[in-house]
Amino acid sequence: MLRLVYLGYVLLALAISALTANLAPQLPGEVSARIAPLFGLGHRAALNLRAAASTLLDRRRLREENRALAEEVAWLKESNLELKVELERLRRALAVREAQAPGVVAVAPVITEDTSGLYRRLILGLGEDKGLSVGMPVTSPSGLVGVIIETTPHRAVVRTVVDPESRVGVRPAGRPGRGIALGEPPAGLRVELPVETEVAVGDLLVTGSLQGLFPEGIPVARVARVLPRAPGALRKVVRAEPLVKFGLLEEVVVLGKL
Amino acid sequence: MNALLLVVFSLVLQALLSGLLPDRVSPPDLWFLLAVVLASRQNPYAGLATAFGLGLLQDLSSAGYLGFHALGLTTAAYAFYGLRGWLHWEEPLARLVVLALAFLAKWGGFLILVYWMRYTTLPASTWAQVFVPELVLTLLLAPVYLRLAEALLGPGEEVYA
Repeated sequence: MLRLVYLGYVLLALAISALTANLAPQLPGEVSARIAPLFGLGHRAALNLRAAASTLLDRRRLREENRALAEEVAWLKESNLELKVELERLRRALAVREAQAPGVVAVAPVITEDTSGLYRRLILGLGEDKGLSVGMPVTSPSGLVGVIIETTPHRAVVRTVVDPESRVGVRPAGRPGRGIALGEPPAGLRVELPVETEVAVGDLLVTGSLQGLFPEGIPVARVARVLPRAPGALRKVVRAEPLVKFGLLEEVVVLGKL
Repeated sequence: MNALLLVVFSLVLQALLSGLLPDRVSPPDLWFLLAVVLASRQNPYAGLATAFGLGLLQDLSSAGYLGFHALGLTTAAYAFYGLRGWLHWEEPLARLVVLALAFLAKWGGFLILVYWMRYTTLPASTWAQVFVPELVLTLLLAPVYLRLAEALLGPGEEVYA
């Protein structure tokens, strides 16, 4: 009996489909449009859920993008910093070239200082492979640093003007009177000048030896104290403070040998 | 009243799942599950009529050929009643087998109508891309859906012909 009922439904379905085939999809479309809100409820909920999921994914993507951009900004900042340092270095080199000498060989980084406490020497990050050699003057925009006394392929040792073994020919800026500045650790200079030299506290001393190691006129130190002249002394002795703060030096300019 | 609520809930859920799943994936057939659940709580004559009515509603809602889903769901319900004599609907595993075979019967109904209308059968791609995922997802969803239906309609009395 049930089979017959089922067959009846089959026939009914076939008949309906055949009779309404010409109406499809107009007739069902009419009904579909009217009951659409019922399905629309679930569909909208689904769309909202998908949109929410998509938003979450987008936020994740945005976070990743943000992280990538932050990394790029950090890299650019670092590059910018490097460029600034490079620019500053070149400025210093230019200043030295303009003010002190045309023969700049290299701008070298100061890697470290001598740690003996007695000597005042600097280790440079460049060496023979960059053209550095013993006897080359080393300066900075502030003033004279010293001279190279030893080199390796990639390193160079600079004896600063305050090193006890340092001897630099100096004279008061703009005035005659050549003398010798001897290094007096940890950060001073003892300058011996002809007794006739007019010098006072605060005067600038510049390089001034003839046929010496250093070019003429590089600022070296400023007079801090004029020592009282001993009876019968053949020289006037002053104490001077170097213009260069060696502890703060990051780069120096190496000049060609005279 | 609860049966009507189940119908509304099923249709909304059907739309929700259709919207949630990617376009490439055929959603589970809640119309089919609804027809089976309602059939399981009615005598076969009423069950067949309900399935036919649901199928017509599905045809109307999908703006397709009238009678297409009606025949499919009626065939599924008919198969369901036939299978219940062989397998215990109360046992979970048997329930899945009954559902799978009834689902196959539904597609048998589709085939009848397609051949009636076009003198051809469904292409192989339809079986692979629609039938298989729809069957799998329907069977996966079935335990949860049947439990929800039971919670909504109550245990109910099983009616046999």
